Amino acid sequence: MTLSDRLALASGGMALATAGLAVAGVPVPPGLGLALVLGGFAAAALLVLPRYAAQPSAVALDDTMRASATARGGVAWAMALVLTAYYAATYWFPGRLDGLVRLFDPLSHALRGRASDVWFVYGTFYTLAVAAMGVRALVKYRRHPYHRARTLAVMAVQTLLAWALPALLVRLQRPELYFSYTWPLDYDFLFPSSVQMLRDNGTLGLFALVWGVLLLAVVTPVLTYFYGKRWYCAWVCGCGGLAETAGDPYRHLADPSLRAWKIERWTIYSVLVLIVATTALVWLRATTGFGGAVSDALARFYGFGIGAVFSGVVGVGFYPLLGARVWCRFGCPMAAILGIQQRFFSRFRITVNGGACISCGNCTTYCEMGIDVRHYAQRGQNIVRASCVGCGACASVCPRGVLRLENGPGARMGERVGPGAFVPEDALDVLT
Amino acid sequence: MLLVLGNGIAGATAARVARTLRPDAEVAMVSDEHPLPYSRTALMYVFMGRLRAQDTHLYDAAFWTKNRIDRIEGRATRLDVNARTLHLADGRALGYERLVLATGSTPRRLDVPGSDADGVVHLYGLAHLDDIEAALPHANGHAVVVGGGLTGVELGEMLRSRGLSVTFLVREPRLMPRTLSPDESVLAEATIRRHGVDVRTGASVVVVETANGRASGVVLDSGETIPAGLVAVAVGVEPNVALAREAGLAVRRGVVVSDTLETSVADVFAAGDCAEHASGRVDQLWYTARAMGAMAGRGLAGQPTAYAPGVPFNAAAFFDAEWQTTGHVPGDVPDGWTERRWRDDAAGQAFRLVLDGDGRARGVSSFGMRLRHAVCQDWVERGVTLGEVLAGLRRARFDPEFHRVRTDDIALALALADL
Repeated sequence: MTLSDRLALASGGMALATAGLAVAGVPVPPGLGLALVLGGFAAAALLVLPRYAAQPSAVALDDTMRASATARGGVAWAMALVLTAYYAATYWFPGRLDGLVRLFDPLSHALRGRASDVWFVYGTFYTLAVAAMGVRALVKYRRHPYHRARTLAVMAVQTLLAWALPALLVRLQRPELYFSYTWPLDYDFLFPSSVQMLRDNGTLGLFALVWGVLLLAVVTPVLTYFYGKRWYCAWVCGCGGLAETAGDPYRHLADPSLRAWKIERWTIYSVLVLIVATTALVWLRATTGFGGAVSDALARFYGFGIGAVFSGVVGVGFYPLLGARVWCRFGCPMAAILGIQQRFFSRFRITVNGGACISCGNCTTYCEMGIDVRHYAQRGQNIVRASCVGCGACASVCPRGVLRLENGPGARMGERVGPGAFVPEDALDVLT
Repeated sequence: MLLVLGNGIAGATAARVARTLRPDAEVAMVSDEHPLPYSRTALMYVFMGRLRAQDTHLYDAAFWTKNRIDRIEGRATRLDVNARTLHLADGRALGYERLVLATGSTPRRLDVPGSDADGVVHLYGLAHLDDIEAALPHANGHAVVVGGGLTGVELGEMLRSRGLSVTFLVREPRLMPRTLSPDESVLAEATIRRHGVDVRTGASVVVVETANGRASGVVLDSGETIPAGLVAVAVGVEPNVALAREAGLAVRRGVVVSDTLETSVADVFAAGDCAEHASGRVDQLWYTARAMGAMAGRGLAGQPTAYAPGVPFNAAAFFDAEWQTTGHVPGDVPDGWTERRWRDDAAGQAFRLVLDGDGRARGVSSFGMRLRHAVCQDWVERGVTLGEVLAGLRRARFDPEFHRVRTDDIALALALADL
């Protein structure tokens, strides 16, 4: 372990200890406590930079499979434990976090003109993670303009649209609106109660409602047709933003096996069906009064089982053990819709460069969605997969320049390559 | 039984192709190295901690099972071509209808005193990674890499990743003179130096110095001594031919094969590093092994096909700089041929187009940028003119989005130079 690694651990430990003391009820001065917590976590994220900067390779990945934090070692388990505990407390025992929440009062007053609460603390931690780990990603991928651009995009969206703007709206006594999300990821956005709330909030509310519907019905299909689902999942979405920054060190933990792919296809479309059914039923109840018990139970189950447990506790809490895209891959209904569009109605694909693949496995290993990229690359077949979020990692870690993210039909960009054109014919199938 | 001996990329490809062409035949691969075919080119990434050994498997175990390609673990000790039987060390005897020998090669030893000492390591298979790991604690922080080829460069990167200082000894006056253009040699050497490797061209080792049976340094032909507790040797590979020779097959440097990769014995084929074409040609690249494996697989299935790999290509990485070739791009072009060269030292990029005496494109190479294989291959296949290459250079672009586009710079510079 290098000196900067030790310092990073010490900083993170200090932040954690401060937060722990506050939670335990020890009177920590809010200003100092907040500085220690936020500064400590930021320092922990950034102290790895010297090591990244020293690595000569195109992407700094050395020791990923050996380091305790990234190879499911003790550090990873400890982080997963702390993260899941924090999520569980935020969702179900917010009172327990009161000491920590009070540390954030000065910041909350300055920004929102009111006292802090667990969700402000959560949003601030989330934004800090995207920002600090975003800087880390910018250094790690400093030779890769595509990664720099999408990292800056998710940092900006999270900081401005998903943190500062909602806080400002709260300060102005307006509803706390998040313009970077819509239904079905924001699962109750189209529930009757939410729609009513927006309609009761004048022009701003109406704008939010129209924008949310446009985002789903117009912006999504158009942009996905031209660029693939990456425009949202790797450039805009907050879940994707956290995965691409805080979750970047864990992308190799996604399971690339065929079994995982089969499970993924069942679970993600099941969640989509569930939220469509739930939304339909709550509207049925609101308009006809029919089926109240069922719709209430479904909405409660979705909020608890999918919203809290799946996307939060498992989705983020298990980052250091299962990788950062568990929710995006196995659960997110927005990703399911984008994925169907990408698979059948999009110009986006990953092009394989002739026969240059050496089957090394870097692409498959570092695919955060667990796509077996090598399977396609080594048979010279372009990759069109519903789950691909277009992060571009496969293209960057490839040591032979075999992969390229492309929008557009083959005729314009060069010949489309199918199996057999450059590499030995291979009719053997994986998924039948 | 359609049998393949060896499960490197040549053997694994032969087995796959045979299975595709003969859905009902029994197909099996024999190997004493590893139960699952893996990518040798990925060994460096395992050593550097970027991949686990299982990440380098071409396919998982279920793939081979599902496609009914038996994986037999065992060491072949004797081949009886008359009885069509392969004998294994554990006493098993495998009868075959046809056989592919894909026995690969062995790293060449350094032919100098002291080259058997502890701390002298090679790189070919997974087991060599253990050798290098075992030698690390005794290296005293300094390693020497002997041999100026791509494996030498990989060893340099591997050892640098573990914090060793590395001296890279290249016998030739410049890096890979038969393969790289002078421009590419300059850029490759600069890249390697930038990553902290001390490159010495025109340097040969005459003695590996030892202390208590361990390597302690090397003496160069100049008389200079370079202390090093780890000496990594990458001076080429020799085909593994012992089994074939004892079986009575025609063997020169490699197992001699015809155009269809058939050996001197009917129904026995050879592919990859171990094969030598009747013309004397021995190809020992990953890509050629894969192509030969595919052709041998056709022979294995009873459909022998001439090995005609088409437009040759190669690709490699010098630390973070990628290099690609398509077609014929010898280090120095033959008499009568010409070349067009573009180089940007600050960006570490180069482009080269090789034209024959009639002004038709014969090869393209690039350094520090990515070009589209399909487009380059099309130029070479059709033998297009300089003008057509320059006009279509944009179509060859394969760098990731948002990268600085150089194809227009190159086209402009080469067009101006040609006025």
